[in-house]
Amino acid sequence: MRERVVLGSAVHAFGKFEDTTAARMCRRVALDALADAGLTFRDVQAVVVGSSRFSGGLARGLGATDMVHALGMTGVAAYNVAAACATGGSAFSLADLLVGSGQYDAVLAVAGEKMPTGFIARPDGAAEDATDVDYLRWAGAALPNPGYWAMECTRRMHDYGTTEETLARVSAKAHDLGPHNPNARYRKPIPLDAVMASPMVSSPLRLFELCAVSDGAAAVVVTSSKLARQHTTNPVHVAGTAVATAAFGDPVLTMPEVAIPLQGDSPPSSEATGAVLTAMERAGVPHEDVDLIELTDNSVWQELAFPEAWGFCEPGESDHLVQTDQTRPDGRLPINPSGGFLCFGEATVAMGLFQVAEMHDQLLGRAGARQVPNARVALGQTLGLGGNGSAVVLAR
Amino acid sequence: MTGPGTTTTDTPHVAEGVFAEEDGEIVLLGARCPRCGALAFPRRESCANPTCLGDLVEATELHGPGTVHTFTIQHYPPPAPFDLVDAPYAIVGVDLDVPLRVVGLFDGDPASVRIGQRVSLTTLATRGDGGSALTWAFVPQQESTHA
Repeated sequence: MRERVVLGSAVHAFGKFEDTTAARMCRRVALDALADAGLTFRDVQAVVVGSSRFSGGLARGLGATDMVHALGMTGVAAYNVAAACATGGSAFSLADLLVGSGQYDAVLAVAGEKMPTGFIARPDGAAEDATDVDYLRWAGAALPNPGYWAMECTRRMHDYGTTEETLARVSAKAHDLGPHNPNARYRKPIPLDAVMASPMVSSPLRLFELCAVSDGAAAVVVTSSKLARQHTTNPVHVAGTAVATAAFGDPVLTMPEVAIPLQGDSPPSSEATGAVLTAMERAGVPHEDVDLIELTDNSVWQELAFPEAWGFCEPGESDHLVQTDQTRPDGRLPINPSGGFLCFGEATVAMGLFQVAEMHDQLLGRAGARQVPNARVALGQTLGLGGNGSAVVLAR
Repeated sequence: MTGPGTTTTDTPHVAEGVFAEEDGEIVLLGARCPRCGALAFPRRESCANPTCLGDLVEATELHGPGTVHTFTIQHYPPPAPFDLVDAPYAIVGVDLDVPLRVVGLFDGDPASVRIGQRVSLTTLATRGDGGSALTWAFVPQQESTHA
Protein backbone atom coordinates (compact mmCIF):
# COMPACT_ATOMS: atom_id res chain seq x y z
CA MET A 1 0.00 0.00 0.00
CA ARG A 2 1.25 3.48 -0.74
CA GLU A 3 1.37 6.08 2.04
CA ARG A 4 -1.92 7.66 3.17
CA VAL A 5 -2.64 10.79 5.18
CA VAL A 6 -5.60 12.07 7.16
CA LEU A 7 -5.67 15.52 5.61
CA GLY A 8 -8.89 16.83 7.14
CA SER A 9 -11.48 15.92 9.73
CA ALA A 10 -14.54 17.38 11.39
CA VAL A 11 -17.10 16.45 14.01
CA HIS A 12 -20.65 17.77 14.13
CA ALA A 13 -21.94 18.76 17.56
CA PHE A 14 -23.60 15.74 19.21
CA GLY A 15 -26.95 16.11 20.90
CA LYS A 16 -30.67 15.91 20.24
CA PHE A 17 -31.61 18.16 17.36
CA GLU A 18 -35.23 18.55 16.41
CA ASP A 19 -34.55 20.65 13.35
CA THR A 20 -31.97 18.73 11.41
CA THR A 21 -31.60 15.55 9.38
CA ALA A 22 -28.82 13.03 9.04
CA ALA A 23 -28.17 14.31 5.52
CA ARG A 24 -27.90 17.91 6.69
CA MET A 25 -25.51 17.01 9.53
CA CYS A 26 -23.40 14.92 7.16
CA ARG A 27 -23.24 17.65 4.53
CA ARG A 28 -22.14 20.18 7.15
CA VAL A 29 -19.46 17.93 8.61
CA ALA A 30 -18.23 16.78 5.18
CA LEU A 31 -17.77 20.40 4.05
CA ASP A 32 -15.97 21.17 7.31
CA ALA A 33 -13.62 18.20 6.85
CA LEU A 34 -12.91 19.24 3.27
CA ALA A 35 -12.21 22.82 4.38
CA ASP A 36 -9.89 21.43 7.05
CA ALA A 37 -8.07 19.56 4.28
CA GLY A 38 -7.93 22.62 2.02
CA LEU A 39 -9.98 20.76 -0.61
CA THR A 40 -13.42 21.05 -2.17
CA PHE A 41 -15.88 18.30 -3.08
CA ARG A 42 -14.66 18.55 -6.67
CA ASP A 43 -11.34 17.12 -5.45
CA VAL A 44 -13.00 14.06 -3.95
CA GLN A 45 -12.67 10.94 -6.07
CA ALA A 46 -14.65 8.54 -3.89
CA VAL A 47 -17.10 8.87 -1.04
CA VAL A 48 -17.52 6.18 1.61
CA VAL A 49 -20.71 6.61 3.61
CA GLY A 50 -21.67 4.85 6.83
CA SER A 51 -25.20 3.51 6.40
CA SER A 52 -27.42 2.88 9.37
CA ARG A 53 -30.18 0.50 10.29
CA PHE A 54 -31.52 2.85 12.88
CA SER A 55 -32.13 6.23 11.32
CA GLY A 56 -35.70 7.24 11.96
CA GLY A 57 -36.60 3.62 12.68
CA LEU A 58 -36.21 2.75 9.02
CA ALA A 59 -34.43 -0.38 7.92
CA ARG A 60 -32.52 1.83 5.54
CA GLY A 61 -30.53 4.80 6.68
CA LEU A 62 -28.58 7.47 4.92
CA GLY A 63 -26.97 6.04 1.80
CA ALA A 64 -23.96 6.98 -0.24
CA THR A 65 -25.94 8.40 -3.13
CA ASP A 66 -27.91 10.56 -0.67
CA MET A 67 -24.59 12.13 0.28
CA VAL A 68 -23.50 12.63 -3.30
CA HIS A 69 -26.83 14.29 -3.97
CA ALA A 70 -26.26 16.58 -0.98
CA LEU A 71 -22.65 17.43 -1.78
CA GLY A 72 -22.54 17.67 -5.56
CA MET A 73 -23.36 15.33 -8.38
CA THR A 74 -19.86 14.96 -9.75
CA GLY A 75 -20.41 11.32 -10.74
CA VAL A 76 -17.99 10.39 -7.97
CA ALA A 77 -17.52 6.75 -6.86
CA ALA A 78 -19.68 6.05 -3.83
CA TYR A 79 -19.59 3.13 -1.39
CA ASN A 80 -21.99 2.14 1.40
CA VAL A 81 -20.64 0.52 4.54
CA ALA A 82 -22.76 -1.04 7.28
CA ALA A 83 -21.31 -2.60 10.44
CA ALA A 84 -23.62 -1.37 13.20
CA CYS A 85 -21.61 0.64 15.73
CA ALA A 86 -18.39 -0.25 13.89
CA THR A 87 -19.62 1.40 10.69
CA GLY A 88 -17.53 4.56 10.97
CA GLY A 89 -14.35 2.60 11.59
CA SER A 90 -15.12 0.24 8.76
CA ALA A 91 -15.82 3.22 6.48
CA PHE A 92 -12.46 4.71 7.42
CA SER A 93 -10.72 1.42 6.76
CA LEU A 94 -12.29 1.26 3.30
CA ALA A 95 -11.31 4.86 2.54
CA ASP A 96 -7.77 3.98 3.61
CA LEU A 97 -7.69 0.99 1.29
CA LEU A 98 -9.11 2.99 -1.63
CA VAL A 99 -6.29 5.51 -1.38
CA GLY A 100 -3.66 2.93 -0.51
CA SER A 101 -4.53 0.91 -3.59
CA GLY A 102 -3.52 3.81 -5.76
CA GLN A 103 -6.87 4.04 -7.49
CA TYR A 104 -8.00 7.21 -5.70
CA ASP A 105 -5.97 10.15 -4.41
CA ALA A 106 -8.63 11.77 -2.22
CA VAL A 107 -11.47 9.95 -0.48
CA LEU A 108 -14.13 11.37 1.83
CA ALA A 109 -15.53 9.14 4.59
CA VAL A 110 -18.66 10.46 6.27
CA ALA A 111 -21.33 9.07 8.59
CA GLY A 112 -24.08 10.45 10.78
CA GLU A 113 -27.49 9.67 12.10
CA LYS A 114 -30.42 10.73 14.20
CA MET A 115 -31.05 8.23 16.95
CA PRO A 116 -34.27 7.32 18.78
CA THR A 117 -34.14 7.78 22.57
CA GLY A 118 -33.47 5.13 25.16
CA PHE A 119 -32.32 1.55 24.66
CA ILE A 120 -31.45 0.85 21.02
CA ALA A 121 -34.23 -1.46 19.80
CA ARG A 122 -34.84 -3.40 16.63
CA PRO A 123 -35.85 -1.87 13.31
CA ASP A 124 -39.39 -2.61 12.17
CA GLY A 125 -39.89 -5.47 9.79
CA ALA A 126 -37.08 -7.67 11.06
CA ALA A 127 -37.71 -11.44 11.33
CA GLU A 128 -39.22 -12.73 14.59
CA ASP A 129 -38.12 -16.33 14.86
CA ALA A 130 -35.34 -18.57 16.09
CA THR A 131 -33.19 -17.82 13.06
CA ASP A 132 -32.75 -14.26 14.30
CA VAL A 133 -30.83 -14.37 17.54
CA ASP A 134 -31.36 -10.63 17.98
CA TYR A 135 -35.08 -11.31 18.22
CA LEU A 136 -34.47 -14.09 20.74
CA ARG A 137 -32.36 -11.96 23.06
CA TRP A 138 -35.13 -9.35 23.18
CA ALA A 139 -38.25 -11.55 23.20
CA GLY A 140 -36.77 -14.53 25.02
CA ALA A 141 -34.34 -12.97 27.46
CA ALA A 142 -35.36 -9.28 27.70
CA LEU A 143 -31.68 -8.47 27.22
CA PRO A 144 -30.81 -4.91 26.09
CA ASN A 145 -27.29 -3.96 24.99
CA PRO A 146 -26.21 -2.64 28.42
CA GLY A 147 -27.12 -6.04 29.86
CA TYR A 148 -24.25 -7.62 27.95
CA TRP A 149 -21.68 -5.19 29.32
CA ALA A 150 -23.24 -5.41 32.77
CA MET A 151 -22.89 -9.19 32.89
CA GLU A 152 -19.21 -8.94 31.95
CA CYS A 153 -18.76 -6.25 34.58
CA THR A 154 -20.45 -8.34 37.28
CA ARG A 155 -18.03 -11.16 36.53
CA ARG A 156 -15.11 -8.71 36.51
CA MET A 157 -16.01 -7.58 40.00
CA HIS A 158 -16.11 -11.24 41.07
CA ASP A 159 -12.79 -12.10 39.42
CA TYR A 160 -10.74 -8.97 40.16
CA GLY A 161 -12.55 -7.23 42.96
CA THR A 162 -13.31 -4.17 40.82
CA THR A 163 -15.23 -1.75 43.02
CA GLU A 164 -18.24 0.42 42.33
CA GLU A 165 -16.00 3.39 42.99
CA THR A 166 -13.59 2.40 40.21
CA LEU A 167 -16.48 2.07 37.78
CA ALA A 168 -17.68 5.53 38.76
CA ARG A 169 -14.20 6.99 38.50
CA VAL A 170 -14.05 6.09 34.79
CA SER A 171 -17.18 8.15 34.22
CA ALA A 172 -16.06 11.09 36.35
CA LYS A 173 -12.80 11.21 34.37
CA ALA A 174 -14.70 11.27 31.09
CA HIS A 175 -16.96 14.07 32.26
CA ASP A 176 -14.00 16.15 33.40
CA LEU A 177 -13.13 16.29 29.68
CA GLY A 178 -16.60 17.26 28.48
CA PRO A 179 -16.11 20.98 29.20
CA HIS A 180 -13.02 20.89 26.94
CA ASN A 181 -14.73 19.44 23.88
CA PRO A 182 -17.04 21.92 22.17
CA ASN A 183 -18.74 19.14 20.17
CA ALA A 184 -19.61 17.04 23.20
CA ARG A 185 -23.25 16.75 24.24
CA TYR A 186 -22.47 16.63 27.94
CA ARG A 187 -20.10 19.41 28.84
CA LYS A 188 -20.41 19.61 32.62
CA PRO A 189 -18.23 17.72 35.08
CA ILE A 190 -20.03 14.98 36.99
CA PRO A 191 -18.27 14.33 40.30
CA LEU A 192 -17.65 10.84 41.59
CA ASP A 193 -20.41 10.87 44.20
CA ALA A 194 -22.96 12.03 41.62
CA VAL A 195 -22.01 9.11 39.36
CA MET A 196 -22.38 6.70 42.26
CA ALA A 197 -25.74 8.21 43.17
CA SER A 198 -27.12 7.92 39.63
CA PRO A 199 -29.84 5.29 39.17
CA MET A 200 -28.80 1.69 38.65
CA VAL A 201 -29.77 0.60 35.12
CA SER A 202 -28.21 -2.82 34.47
CA SER A 203 -26.34 -3.85 37.59
CA PRO A 204 -23.58 -2.97 38.28
CA LEU A 205 -23.80 -0.20 35.65
CA ARG A 206 -25.46 3.06 36.62
CA LEU A 207 -26.98 5.70 34.38
CA PHE A 208 -23.86 7.87 34.24
CA GLU A 209 -21.73 4.80 33.56
CA LEU A 210 -23.59 4.11 30.32
CA CYS A 211 -23.51 6.25 27.20
CA ALA A 212 -26.63 7.86 25.87
CA VAL A 213 -27.67 7.85 22.24
CA SER A 214 -27.27 11.09 20.30
CA ASP A 215 -27.68 12.64 16.92
CA GLY A 216 -24.25 13.30 15.44
CA ALA A 217 -21.94 13.03 12.48
CA ALA A 218 -18.27 13.03 11.58
CA ALA A 219 -16.19 13.12 8.43
CA VAL A 220 -12.60 12.47 7.48
CA VAL A 221 -10.63 13.13 4.27
CA VAL A 222 -7.95 10.58 3.41
CA THR A 223 -5.47 11.38 0.68
CA SER A 224 -2.28 10.11 -0.82
CA SER A 225 0.88 11.33 0.83
CA LYS A 226 1.81 13.07 -2.42
CA LEU A 227 -1.42 15.08 -2.54
CA ALA A 228 -1.15 15.88 1.15
CA ARG A 229 2.28 17.45 0.69
CA GLN A 230 0.63 20.18 -1.41
CA HIS A 231 -1.49 21.16 1.59
CA THR A 232 0.45 20.46 4.77
CA THR A 233 3.97 20.26 6.11
CA ASN A 234 2.80 18.24 9.12
CA PRO A 235 1.01 15.19 7.76
CA VAL A 236 -0.76 12.74 10.05
CA HIS A 237 -0.22 9.33 8.50
CA VAL A 238 -2.54 6.37 8.51
CA ALA A 239 -0.14 3.80 9.92
CA GLY A 240 -2.59 0.91 9.82
CA THR A 241 -6.26 0.02 9.76
CA ALA A 242 -8.10 -3.25 10.30
CA VAL A 243 -11.59 -4.68 10.33
CA ALA A 244 -12.42 -7.91 12.16
CA THR A 245 -15.35 -10.06 13.21
CA ALA A 246 -16.07 -12.10 16.33
CA ALA A 247 -14.14 -15.36 16.49
CA PHE A 248 -15.32 -18.79 17.64
CA GLY A 249 -14.55 -19.42 21.26
CA ASP A 250 -14.65 -15.80 22.38
CA PRO A 251 -15.18 -15.96 26.16
CA VAL A 252 -17.19 -12.74 26.01
CA LEU A 253 -20.81 -13.12 24.92
CA THR A 254 -20.94 -11.32 21.57
CA MET A 255 -23.96 -9.04 21.13
CA PRO A 256 -26.64 -10.17 20.27
CA GLU A 257 -25.97 -13.87 20.91
CA VAL A 258 -27.78 -15.82 23.65
CA ALA A 259 -25.16 -18.54 24.00
CA ILE A 260 -21.46 -19.12 23.43
CA PRO A 261 -19.53 -22.38 23.18
CA LEU A 262 -16.98 -22.82 25.93
CA GLN A 263 -14.33 -24.24 23.66
CA GLY A 264 -11.95 -22.87 21.11
CA ASP A 265 -9.26 -20.36 21.78
CA SER A 266 -10.05 -16.76 21.01
CA PRO A 267 -9.14 -13.52 22.77
CA PRO A 268 -11.95 -11.73 24.61
CA SER A 269 -14.06 -9.28 22.61
CA SER A 270 -12.40 -10.73 19.55
CA GLU A 271 -14.18 -8.48 17.05
CA ALA A 272 -12.39 -5.54 18.67
CA THR A 273 -9.24 -7.25 19.91
CA GLY A 274 -8.56 -8.87 16.55
CA ALA A 275 -8.90 -5.55 14.76
CA VAL A 276 -6.71 -3.69 17.27
CA LEU A 277 -3.88 -6.22 17.20
CA THR A 278 -3.97 -6.42 13.40
CA ALA A 279 -3.96 -2.63 13.00
CA MET A 280 -1.02 -2.33 15.39
CA GLU A 281 0.83 -5.06 13.54
CA ARG A 282 0.22 -3.37 10.19
CA ALA A 283 1.40 -0.10 11.71
CA GLY A 284 4.50 -1.77 13.16
CA VAL A 285 3.66 -0.09 16.47
CA PRO A 286 4.45 -1.76 19.79
CA HIS A 287 2.18 -1.12 22.78
CA GLU A 288 4.60 1.22 24.51
CA ASP A 289 4.58 3.60 21.53
CA VAL A 290 0.83 4.25 21.69
CA ASP A 291 0.27 7.70 23.21
CA LEU A 292 -3.52 7.63 23.42
CA ILE A 293 -6.47 5.33 22.79
CA GLU A 294 -9.99 6.21 21.65
CA LEU A 295 -12.16 3.18 22.46
CA THR A 296 -15.85 2.36 22.61
CA ASP A 297 -16.86 3.45 26.11
CA ASN A 298 -20.49 2.45 25.64
CA SER A 299 -20.08 1.74 29.35
CA VAL A 300 -17.27 2.08 31.85
CA TRP A 301 -16.68 -1.68 31.63
CA GLN A 302 -15.12 -1.45 28.16
CA GLU A 303 -12.62 1.14 29.35
CA LEU A 304 -11.43 -1.26 32.05
CA ALA A 305 -11.56 -4.51 30.09
CA PHE A 306 -10.32 -3.55 26.63
CA PRO A 307 -6.82 -2.22 27.43
CA GLU A 308 -6.20 -5.49 29.28
CA ALA A 309 -7.58 -7.60 26.43
CA TRP A 310 -5.29 -5.76 24.00
CA GLY A 311 -2.15 -6.17 26.10
CA PHE A 312 -1.72 -2.59 27.30
CA CYS A 313 -1.72 -3.76 30.90
CA GLU A 314 -2.14 -6.95 32.89
CA PRO A 315 -5.56 -8.48 33.59
CA GLY A 316 -7.06 -6.53 36.47
CA GLU A 317 -4.51 -3.72 36.20
CA SER A 318 -6.87 -1.22 34.56
CA ASP A 319 -8.44 -0.54 37.95
CA HIS A 320 -5.11 0.73 39.26
CA LEU A 321 -4.54 2.89 36.16
CA VAL A 322 -7.93 4.51 36.67
CA GLN A 323 -7.49 4.97 40.41
CA THR A 324 -4.12 6.68 39.89
CA ASP A 325 -5.39 8.97 37.11
CA GLN A 326 -3.16 7.32 34.50
CA THR A 327 -5.92 7.33 31.86
CA ARG A 328 -6.27 11.12 31.87
CA PRO A 329 -4.63 13.09 29.03
CA ASP A 330 -1.53 13.70 31.16
CA GLY A 331 -1.31 10.11 32.41
CA ARG A 332 0.66 7.05 31.38
CA LEU A 333 -2.10 5.65 29.13
CA PRO A 334 -4.56 8.35 28.06
CA ILE A 335 -7.92 6.83 27.18
CA ASN A 336 -10.66 8.76 25.40
CA PRO A 337 -9.22 12.26 25.73
CA SER A 338 -12.18 13.30 23.55
CA GLY A 339 -14.51 12.67 26.47
CA GLY A 340 -15.64 9.47 24.76
CA PHE A 341 -19.10 8.12 24.20
CA LEU A 342 -19.92 9.06 27.79
CA CYS A 343 -19.66 12.76 26.91
CA PHE A 344 -20.98 12.50 23.37
CA GLY A 345 -23.62 9.81 23.40
CA GLU A 346 -23.55 7.40 20.52
CA ALA A 347 -24.58 8.15 16.95
CA THR A 348 -23.76 4.60 16.02
CA VAL A 349 -22.41 4.92 12.49
CA ALA A 350 -20.39 8.04 13.17
CA MET A 351 -18.27 6.91 16.10
CA GLY A 352 -15.31 5.46 14.24
CA LEU A 353 -14.93 8.69 12.28
CA PHE A 354 -15.44 10.81 15.41
CA GLN A 355 -12.54 8.91 16.96
CA VAL A 356 -10.29 9.49 13.91
CA ALA A 357 -11.11 13.20 14.08
CA GLU A 358 -10.06 13.33 17.73
CA MET A 359 -6.89 11.39 16.99
CA HIS A 360 -6.18 13.80 14.12
CA ASP A 361 -6.63 16.79 16.46
CA GLN A 362 -4.38 15.18 19.06
CA LEU A 363 -1.56 14.44 16.64
CA LEU A 364 -1.77 17.95 15.19
CA GLY A 365 -1.55 19.40 18.68
CA ARG A 366 -4.87 21.21 18.35
CA ALA A 367 -6.82 19.40 21.08
CA GLY A 368 -6.68 22.36 23.46
CA ALA A 369 -7.17 21.46 27.11
CA ARG A 370 -7.68 17.81 26.11
CA GLN A 371 -4.21 17.65 24.55
CA VAL A 372 -2.10 14.61 25.28
CA PRO A 373 1.44 16.00 25.50
CA ASN A 374 3.71 15.06 22.56
CA ALA A 375 1.13 12.76 21.02
CA ARG A 376 2.72 10.95 18.08
CA VAL A 377 0.82 7.65 17.85
CA ALA A 378 -2.91 7.18 18.41
CA LEU A 379 -5.09 4.06 18.41
CA GLY A 380 -8.83 4.04 17.74
CA GLN A 381 -11.25 1.11 18.02
CA THR A 382 -14.94 0.47 17.39
CA LEU A 383 -17.21 -2.51 18.03
CA GLY A 384 -20.66 -3.16 16.57
CA LEU A 385 -23.60 -5.47 17.21
CA GLY A 386 -23.28 -8.75 15.39
CA GLY A 387 -19.56 -9.15 15.96
CA ASN A 388 -18.23 -6.15 14.00
CA GLY A 389 -14.99 -4.44 14.91
CA SER A 390 -12.47 -2.02 13.49
CA ALA A 391 -9.28 -0.28 14.52
CA VAL A 392 -6.99 2.44 13.23
CA VAL A 393 -3.50 3.63 14.10
CA LEU A 394 -2.52 7.17 13.13
CA ALA A 395 1.04 8.42 13.49
CA ARG A 396 3.19 11.40 12.75
CA MET B 1 -42.15 -10.62 37.05
CA THR B 2 -44.98 -12.23 35.14
CA GLY B 3 -45.69 -15.43 37.00
CA PRO B 4 -44.33 -18.78 36.03
CA GLY B 5 -46.65 -21.67 35.54
CA THR B 6 -49.73 -19.57 34.81
CA THR B 7 -50.03 -20.96 31.34
CA THR B 8 -51.66 -23.78 29.45
CA THR B 9 -50.11 -26.18 27.00
CA ASP B 10 -51.57 -23.91 24.34
CA THR B 11 -49.41 -20.95 25.35
CA PRO B 12 -47.21 -20.22 22.35
CA HIS B 13 -43.44 -20.32 22.67
CA VAL B 14 -41.59 -17.07 22.12
CA ALA B 15 -40.33 -18.71 18.93
CA GLU B 16 -40.66 -22.18 17.47
CA GLY B 17 -37.80 -24.60 17.79
CA VAL B 18 -36.12 -22.96 20.77
CA PHE B 19 -37.05 -25.21 23.69
CA ALA B 20 -39.23 -28.21 24.46
CA GLU B 21 -40.59 -30.22 27.34
CA GLU B 22 -39.27 -33.79 27.48
CA ASP B 23 -40.48 -36.14 30.25
CA GLY B 24 -41.35 -33.21 32.48
CA GLU B 25 -38.00 -31.49 31.93
CA ILE B 26 -37.36 -28.35 29.92
CA VAL B 27 -34.60 -28.71 27.35
CA LEU B 28 -33.11 -26.15 24.98
CA LEU B 29 -33.06 -27.12 21.32
CA GLY B 30 -29.53 -26.60 20.11
CA ALA B 31 -27.03 -28.01 17.70
CA ARG B 32 -23.92 -30.13 17.99
CA CYS B 33 -21.22 -30.71 15.40
CA PRO B 34 -20.49 -34.43 15.17
CA ARG B 35 -16.96 -33.75 13.95
CA CYS B 36 -15.64 -31.35 16.61
CA GLY B 37 -18.36 -31.43 19.25
CA ALA B 38 -19.04 -27.68 19.13
CA LEU B 39 -22.37 -26.78 20.68
CA ALA B 40 -24.67 -23.95 19.68
CA PHE B 41 -27.94 -22.40 20.80
CA PRO B 42 -30.20 -21.68 19.05
CA ARG B 43 -29.82 -24.24 16.28
CA ARG B 44 -27.53 -23.44 13.39
CA GLU B 45 -26.96 -25.18 10.10
CA SER B 46 -23.19 -25.48 9.85
CA CYS B 47 -20.24 -25.58 12.20
CA ALA B 48 -18.73 -22.21 13.12
CA ASN B 49 -15.55 -23.70 14.53
CA PRO B 50 -12.78 -22.52 12.18
CA THR B 51 -10.73 -25.66 12.79
CA CYS B 52 -13.71 -27.73 11.65
CA LEU B 53 -16.12 -25.83 9.33
CA GLY B 54 -18.25 -28.95 9.22
CA ASP B 55 -21.22 -28.98 6.92
CA LEU B 56 -23.30 -31.39 8.99
CA VAL B 57 -24.63 -30.19 12.32
CA GLU B 58 -27.01 -32.34 14.35
CA ALA B 59 -29.96 -31.18 16.40
CA THR B 60 -29.31 -31.78 20.06
CA GLU B 61 -31.10 -31.26 23.36
CA LEU B 62 -29.35 -29.16 25.94
CA HIS B 63 -30.20 -30.05 29.52
CA GLY B 64 -29.90 -28.24 32.81
CA PRO B 65 -28.86 -27.85 35.51
CA GLY B 66 -26.07 -25.36 35.11
CA THR B 67 -23.97 -22.98 37.19
CA VAL B 68 -24.47 -19.22 37.26
CA HIS B 69 -21.32 -17.65 35.75
CA THR B 70 -22.60 -14.09 35.88
CA PHE B 71 -25.77 -12.03 36.03
CA THR B 72 -27.22 -8.56 35.85
CA ILE B 73 -30.31 -7.04 37.46
CA GLN B 74 -32.25 -4.89 35.04
CA HIS B 75 -33.93 -1.94 36.72
CA TYR B 76 -35.87 -0.75 33.69
CA PRO B 77 -38.14 -2.74 31.40
CA PRO B 78 -36.99 -3.15 27.82
CA PRO B 79 -38.39 -0.77 25.20
CA ALA B 80 -41.64 -1.54 23.42
CA PRO B 81 -42.48 -3.85 21.81
CA PHE B 82 -40.22 -5.91 24.10
CA ASP B 83 -41.47 -4.59 27.45
CA LEU B 84 -42.51 -8.15 28.22
CA VAL B 85 -41.38 -8.45 31.84
CA ASP B 86 -41.62 -6.19 34.87
CA ALA B 87 -38.53 -4.58 36.33
CA PRO B 88 -36.53 -5.27 38.36
CA TYR B 89 -35.62 -8.62 36.89
CA ALA B 90 -32.41 -10.62 36.62
CA ILE B 91 -30.73 -12.13 33.59
CA VAL B 92 -28.23 -14.92 34.23
CA GLY B 93 -25.39 -16.32 32.16
CA VAL B 94 -25.33 -20.02 32.95
CA ASP B 95 -22.64 -22.58 32.22
CA LEU B 96 -24.43 -25.80 31.42
CA ASP B 97 -22.71 -29.05 32.38
CA VAL B 98 -21.70 -29.29 28.71
CA PRO B 99 -19.40 -26.64 27.15
CA LEU B 100 -22.02 -23.97 26.48
CA ARG B 101 -22.91 -20.74 28.31
CA VAL B 102 -26.50 -19.64 27.86
CA VAL B 103 -28.24 -16.45 28.96
CA GLY B 104 -31.84 -16.31 30.07
CA LEU B 105 -34.26 -14.75 32.48
CA PHE B 106 -33.97 -15.70 36.14
CA ASP B 107 -37.16 -17.03 37.65
CA GLY B 108 -37.06 -15.71 41.17
CA ASP B 109 -36.12 -12.76 43.35
CA PRO B 110 -33.39 -10.88 41.48
CA ALA B 111 -31.66 -10.12 44.78
CA SER B 112 -31.16 -13.83 45.38
CA VAL B 113 -28.96 -14.54 42.34
CA ARG B 114 -25.41 -15.63 43.12
CA ILE B 115 -22.44 -16.54 40.97
CA GLY B 116 -21.88 -20.26 41.43
CA GLN B 117 -25.56 -20.98 42.12
CA ARG B 118 -26.95 -24.14 40.54
CA VAL B 119 -29.97 -23.46 38.37
CA SER B 120 -32.35 -25.64 36.40
CA LEU B 121 -34.10 -24.91 33.12
CA THR B 122 -37.71 -23.84 33.34
CA THR B 123 -40.18 -21.81 31.35
CA LEU B 124 -41.49 -18.36 32.09
CA ALA B 125 -44.55 -16.59 30.74
CA THR B 126 -43.87 -13.15 29.32
CA ARG B 127 -46.39 -10.65 28.01
CA GLY B 128 -46.93 -10.59 24.30
CA ASP B 129 -49.33 -9.28 21.70
CA GLY B 130 -52.70 -10.74 22.67
CA GLY B 131 -51.47 -12.85 25.57
CA SER B 132 -48.58 -14.68 27.14
CA ALA B 133 -45.65 -16.27 25.41
CA LEU B 134 -43.39 -18.88 26.99
CA THR B 135 -39.65 -18.45 27.03
CA TRP B 136 -36.82 -20.43 28.56
CA ALA B 137 -35.53 -19.35 31.95
CA PHE B 138 -33.43 -20.49 34.88
CA VAL B 139 -34.63 -21.24 38.41
CA PRO B 140 -32.63 -22.15 41.54
CA GLN B 141 -32.26 -25.89 41.48
CA GLN B 142 -33.89 -26.75 44.75
CA GLU B 143 -37.01 -24.76 43.92
CA SER B 144 -37.56 -26.35 40.53
CA THR B 145 -40.98 -27.84 40.11
CA HIS B 146 -39.69 -29.87 37.18
CA ALA B 147 -38.15 -33.28 37.96
